[in-house]
Amino acid sequence: MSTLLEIGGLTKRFGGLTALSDVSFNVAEDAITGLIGPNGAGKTTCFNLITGTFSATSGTIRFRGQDISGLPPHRIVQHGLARTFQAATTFPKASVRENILRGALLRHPLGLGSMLFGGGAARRAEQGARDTVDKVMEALELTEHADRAAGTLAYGHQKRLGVAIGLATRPGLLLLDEPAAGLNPDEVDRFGSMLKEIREGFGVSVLIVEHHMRLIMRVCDHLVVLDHGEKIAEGAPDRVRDDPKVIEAYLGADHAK
Amino acid sequence: MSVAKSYPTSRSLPMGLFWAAALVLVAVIPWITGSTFHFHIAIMVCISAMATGGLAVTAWVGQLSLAHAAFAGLGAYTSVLLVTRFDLPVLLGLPAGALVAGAVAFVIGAPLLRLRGVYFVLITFALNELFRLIMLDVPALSGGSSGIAGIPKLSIFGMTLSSYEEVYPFALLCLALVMGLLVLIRKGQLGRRFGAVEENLALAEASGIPTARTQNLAFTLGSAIAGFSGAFLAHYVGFISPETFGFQLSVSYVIMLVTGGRLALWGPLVGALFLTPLPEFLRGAVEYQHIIYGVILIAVLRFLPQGLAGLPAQLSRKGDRS
Amino acid sequence: MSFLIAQSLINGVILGTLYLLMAIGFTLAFGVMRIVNFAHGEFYMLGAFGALIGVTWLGLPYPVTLALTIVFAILFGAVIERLVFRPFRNDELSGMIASLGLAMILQHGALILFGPDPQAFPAMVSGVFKWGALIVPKSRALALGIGIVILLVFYLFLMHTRHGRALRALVQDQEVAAVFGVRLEIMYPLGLGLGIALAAVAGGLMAPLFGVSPFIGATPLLKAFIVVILGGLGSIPGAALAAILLGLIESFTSSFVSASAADIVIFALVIGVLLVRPAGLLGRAEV
Repeated sequence: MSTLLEIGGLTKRFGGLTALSDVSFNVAEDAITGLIGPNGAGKTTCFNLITGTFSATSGTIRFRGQDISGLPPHRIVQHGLARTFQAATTFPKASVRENILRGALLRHPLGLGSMLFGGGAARRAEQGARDTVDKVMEALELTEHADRAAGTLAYGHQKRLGVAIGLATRPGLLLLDEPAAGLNPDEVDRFGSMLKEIREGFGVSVLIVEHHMRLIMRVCDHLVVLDHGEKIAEGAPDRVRDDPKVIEAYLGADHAK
Repeated sequence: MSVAKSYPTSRSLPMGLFWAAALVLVAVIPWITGSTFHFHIAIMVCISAMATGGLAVTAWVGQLSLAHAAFAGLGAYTSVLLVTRFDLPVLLGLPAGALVAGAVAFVIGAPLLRLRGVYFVLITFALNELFRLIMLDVPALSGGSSGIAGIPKLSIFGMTLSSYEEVYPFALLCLALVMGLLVLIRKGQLGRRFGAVEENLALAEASGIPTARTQNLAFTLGSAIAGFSGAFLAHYVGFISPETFGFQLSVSYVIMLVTGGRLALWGPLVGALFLTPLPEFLRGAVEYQHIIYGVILIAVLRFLPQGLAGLPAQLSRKGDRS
Repeated sequence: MSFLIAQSLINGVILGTLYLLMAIGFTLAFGVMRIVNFAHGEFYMLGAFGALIGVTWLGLPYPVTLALTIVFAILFGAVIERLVFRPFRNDELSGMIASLGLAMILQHGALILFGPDPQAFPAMVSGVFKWGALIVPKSRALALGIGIVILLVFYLFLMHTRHGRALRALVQDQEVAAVFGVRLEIMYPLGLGLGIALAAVAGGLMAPLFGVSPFIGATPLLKAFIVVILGGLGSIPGAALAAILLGLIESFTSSFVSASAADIVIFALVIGVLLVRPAGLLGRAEV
């Protein structure tokens, strides 16, 4: 498996506080990689640096060999890294189909003239995007809700819609920020299965930040563990689970509570 | 089928025809009554609707500008100065006003639009004050507090529109052009982008939409329309001063927009149509005009969050439920 | 020259106190309820009319009038909160637009009731204090003195009473305050009422100096805006610093340069601060 995303010496300081310190890891093509760690370990910071929400104090982020650090979020999506949000994040007033279409149109760019006056190019773009939308809705079991306003969906469906919007941008790597948070156990299981199907069906790799250990152990091929802003372990899920440093980090965090 | 489904604008065709017919009926009222005064009111409706339409474009990307009057003023002064000092035809002065207002908005938009919500409102409020103060401070250009009077009337290809009856068709044409632009924006792919930015900025950015550039485009277009309307106003009324384009004018555009419907395509037109002639219906109670504006504004915010333009949809939804 | 500096300093402090009374009320309403209140200046105007009515129509002593102004303003503020602002609690933008409507209603209501002409306010004290070349009219000294007393009382209320602490908790963090049992249905009307009362009493204090008319609210509102933006929306220490700073800048530039130049410089400064530090000079940086 070749390397898709290379994180090198990534560091982020907020004022005097070091949220992330010299973290390096790789994300392999066609893999589902999990980024885990106790609360305050720096997972979200790491996630926000990769997706361009913050810029790093130092370090490099390379995607398919290209340096993408410091780019604004919308440029990073164009390179093929799509993200979801921790909370259920949708365009609440628009229909489910329209939500996904707004993501899909990324791969069908138009000039200002076509955007205003329509015409053949605009029609072709929309038709092409609609094909993607149908496929994505199918994969995430949202087809039956296609015409409902996103804001009226159940929480679990909204979270799935968030993944659908990201997937519609046809990314090489999909970054999921706590996709299982707020879901009930059944929904988590179904989401796990969907994730594996998505990887096959769309040829997309996944980097997932998650607390839900059962989901992580079930779907991930590779784990990276952070604690106090530093990487403390990396490897296959079985090996990482038995790593004494990882156990200590989690137990220590539990005792501190 | 309309493309942008995010806004509550989709109506069946017969309803669309009904509204179009109603609009035409309202537009011909001055010709039916023949009253000069009605022509004047109708022209003022056209100017207000254009300006409010510009404000709407910025509102569609989720930003409310309180500097809209300043951009109208920028357009007005540009056109007046070009026409009086460089003998430019008025017909070219109007687009020149739009161009300068749009260009200024484009340049200052990038840093300005990083602020959101009430912070953007506050900075545009301060900007409107700054415009007024600076203009008062350069009387050689602006005429200072006594303003510029005797501004050349509107004219087309050398033909001066000297009477209200002659100005009105031109005002209608300009309004139609502005509304046409608004329709193109809303019904095309640009409207989809605007909707995405308005509904959820972070998600729009994460979906690959350049949100900063999109907001700046909306702000530039909206402010250019303001500049156009300001230039029209100047040549129609014949007098401008820095005070003409103060805070109060910005507020009155906001009131029309909110009353008509902040996010509705036809909101600006409905708001201007409803509020501009209102004082005429009050006759004996003109001093209550502003109080009534204030009450309407608060009541619309409270009970008609989608404005008057959203009223039919709101009513039919209630009907469905019962 | 040194005399001019000292004189400017004193005038600056007097202006700063007025601005602070205005700005604290404004920033309190924003901090507690997240409402940018464009009607704030109209409460200054109503306070001035209230004082005029108390002193000239009812013949009440000035201090009693000011106290009544405060009481009525708090009650009025609570009513306004209930009628106008409550539906927009979670919608900053709509609340702000509603306040534009409220400002129109109040200003034009006063216009109908009192007419457009400025009305003179009887002098409360006359004569001047003189220290060498320095001259301070007693009327200004009185306004400054009462203003400082009111600010001190308000400070003690915020720091040392249960309701004051609850208000500060709300300004800090709405959710945490709610978790710790701060009752919003009491604190919102109280916060707005107190904010409005400070504006009204400022109007009552300044009425003997500047006269009374329905249009006097615009300038103090503008100053409150400037102070609050410079100090950071919702920040009371920031407002205190910015108010005194603004008073001094205005007083010095109008003594040494020109008033219109001062205004332009100040607005440019406001825009600069908003762009670079939207949270204000002392405010916490918001993401």
